[in-house]
Amino acid sequence: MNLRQIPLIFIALLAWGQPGSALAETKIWSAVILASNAPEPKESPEVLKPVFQGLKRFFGYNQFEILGSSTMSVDAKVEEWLVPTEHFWLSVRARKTTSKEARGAYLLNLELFHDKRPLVATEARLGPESPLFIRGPVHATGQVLVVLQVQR
Amino acid sequence: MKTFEEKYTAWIDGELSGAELAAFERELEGHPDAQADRESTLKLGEFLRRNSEVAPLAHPDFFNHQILQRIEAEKTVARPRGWEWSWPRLAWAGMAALLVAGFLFKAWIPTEPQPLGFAESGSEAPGVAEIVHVSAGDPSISVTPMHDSRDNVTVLWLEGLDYLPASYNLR
Repeated sequence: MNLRQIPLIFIALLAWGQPGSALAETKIWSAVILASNAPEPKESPEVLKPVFQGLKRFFGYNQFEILGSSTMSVDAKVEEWLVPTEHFWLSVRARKTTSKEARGAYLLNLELFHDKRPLVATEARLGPESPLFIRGPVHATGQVLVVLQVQR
Repeated sequence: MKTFEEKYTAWIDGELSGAELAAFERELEGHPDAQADRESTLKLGEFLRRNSEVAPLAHPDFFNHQILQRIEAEKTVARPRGWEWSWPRLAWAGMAALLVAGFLFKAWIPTEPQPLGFAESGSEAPGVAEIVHVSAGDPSISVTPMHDSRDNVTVLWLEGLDYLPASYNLR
């Protein structure tokens, strides 16, 4: 082997061991949802369809509308702000878990604000098919929910 | 003024004479072994003088050359040829270390995602998501983590929030 090839091998090995490519495609999606009961409920948004029946049973509403949404990249290793609507903000820091038991999951440190009021702070482990819902305030027209989900 | 030791050495060597010798011999009357010591020392000196003659070297330059060559040869043998770092060796060692690190990374740290389900907090079952920690934003708010394993729904249930009237624009 030519000694000049050694740096190339180094670079190839580094690229092989680099997990950043998988992280770069991953996003954290958040949305503010208004849950309500309607005589003729609108069709559930596509993104909520996998959990629609569960939400319906859990919260007791038959209609879920997305009022606004926001997305951030997981590979941002700093705190990010998600602003799905003008009134609800989320401060999120996400990192991939290293535990073998929780492979593919992400550890999120998040804080939910309503206007300037902090409502809740949590550390949660989420996966691509395991969204987290936060039951927010009650509005005259329904129940406000905030959802966070890992998307690929 | 000479010390006793100086005078004693001079006496053994026969360098004292006259009044000085007589005075010192009077002084030696208190040392009965002095005469025997002198004779022993003189005998040793005589022996050394007789036997200290060195045979002259026939070829001193050749002898020196041989000695120096022997020293050089022993120096070469004595220096151990241990591991010496060179750039190629360093590169190979780095590559080997990188391979081991890469293998350990692939073996121990998961990179491929797997579908997750929810479970109770603290569970370590495979494919489990959980609420690790939660706290309310202020004391008037209470937070309850809830989980429905049948529908795979996890909720942070907040109580104590302000009611939002119809005039409040949510968007």
